[in-house]
Amino acid sequence: MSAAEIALVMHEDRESAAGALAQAMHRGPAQSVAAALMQLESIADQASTEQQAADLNALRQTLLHLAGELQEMTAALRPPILDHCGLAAALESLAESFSQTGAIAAQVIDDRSRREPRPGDVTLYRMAEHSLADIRQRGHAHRATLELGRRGRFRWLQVRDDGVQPPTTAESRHGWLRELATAMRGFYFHSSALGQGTCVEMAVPMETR
Amino acid sequence: MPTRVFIVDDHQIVRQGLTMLLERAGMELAGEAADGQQALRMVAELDPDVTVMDVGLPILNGLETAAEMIKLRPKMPIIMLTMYYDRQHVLRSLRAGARGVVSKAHAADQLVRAIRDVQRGKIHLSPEMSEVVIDAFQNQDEGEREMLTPRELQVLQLVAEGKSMKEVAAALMISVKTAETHRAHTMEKLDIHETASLVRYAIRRGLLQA
Repeated sequence: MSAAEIALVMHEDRESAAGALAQAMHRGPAQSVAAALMQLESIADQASTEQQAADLNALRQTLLHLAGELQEMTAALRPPILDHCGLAAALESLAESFSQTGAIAAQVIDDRSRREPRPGDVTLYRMAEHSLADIRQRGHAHRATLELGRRGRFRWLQVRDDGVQPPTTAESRHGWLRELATAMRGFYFHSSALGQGTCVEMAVPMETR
Repeated sequence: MPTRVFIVDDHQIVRQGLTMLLERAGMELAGEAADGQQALRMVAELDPDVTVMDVGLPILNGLETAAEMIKLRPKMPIIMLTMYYDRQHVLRSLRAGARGVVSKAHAADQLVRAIRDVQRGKIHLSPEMSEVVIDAFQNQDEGEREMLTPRELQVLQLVAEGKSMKEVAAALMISVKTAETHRAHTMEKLDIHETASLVRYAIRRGLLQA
């Protein structure tokens, strides 16, 4: 087994474990908290004193807080939108969040050629996440564009920006993505010239290996 | 006559909680399903007034189920329940045809109002969701324009001006086949299926004077 293949197995194992944990949290505690809130509402009018009403309200606020925390933890493990709405929607959500939390505007262009979930979706999503984080870290970019499409039997994602990063540093930070793409029988390109922005492209087969 | 509600959620504990809320509000449970396919099989027979459905369903997810259900029963309003109220969840629920989107954590105090609203023909969004939707619609035109490539915008404009594919190809110095491909991609991206609608779109977007 080559180093790239080992990296792929580790990546898939990690994503699989994170996905399973997120799913378990979503299906278990998150739903139980939602149900508890509903049950609480149904007994709210049975409070006979102001103190009881205040206690029930405090309990409600605690449960709402817990629901919010569970949502954040689940999303950090694996964005639920990826499973519910697909890669394009997940990228749009990522771009929106990126734009809101920094001074760099991010936009998604989706050719809408395929909407069904594909095995490489998580990898492409992680590539986008990594690339946007990289853009933010090195700074000097005002705009980032994520373009999702289909190239033959590959699902393809390009992330480009208008930053001024020196080319060599970004390439070294993206090495693991190149290894993953190779092991998945896909491809990865990175181009960056001083003062001319950076372009990262990754394509993964739409069918499983 | 009480409002009859069909609940579709794969978590039994949530179905029980929702049933409790509905009954307390004087509504009636028309039936319940645990996945999208089961829901589609049951909806015609149950004939509910409103369907309340989770976004993250197994087998066939809630958004796809909603889109199919609307084909079966176009007048029956659907309310989507979601644990997550980011913009994409809300927008895609509305695009699937839902008339309401309610956060599951806030269902206790919002669902009954949402059911009454959609029955009156209104759209109901949880307060925390309204802002993201308004923002999205305000930016929609720009988003659609940016979704098209410069070449597709050129083809769109020429087609809207009444040019034939041969004339478009000549004007842009490309083959007729390539011009046809650009037109097909443009129509697909904009979800437009006839040239007349393409012309109307171009006028609306200021690419062509009416």
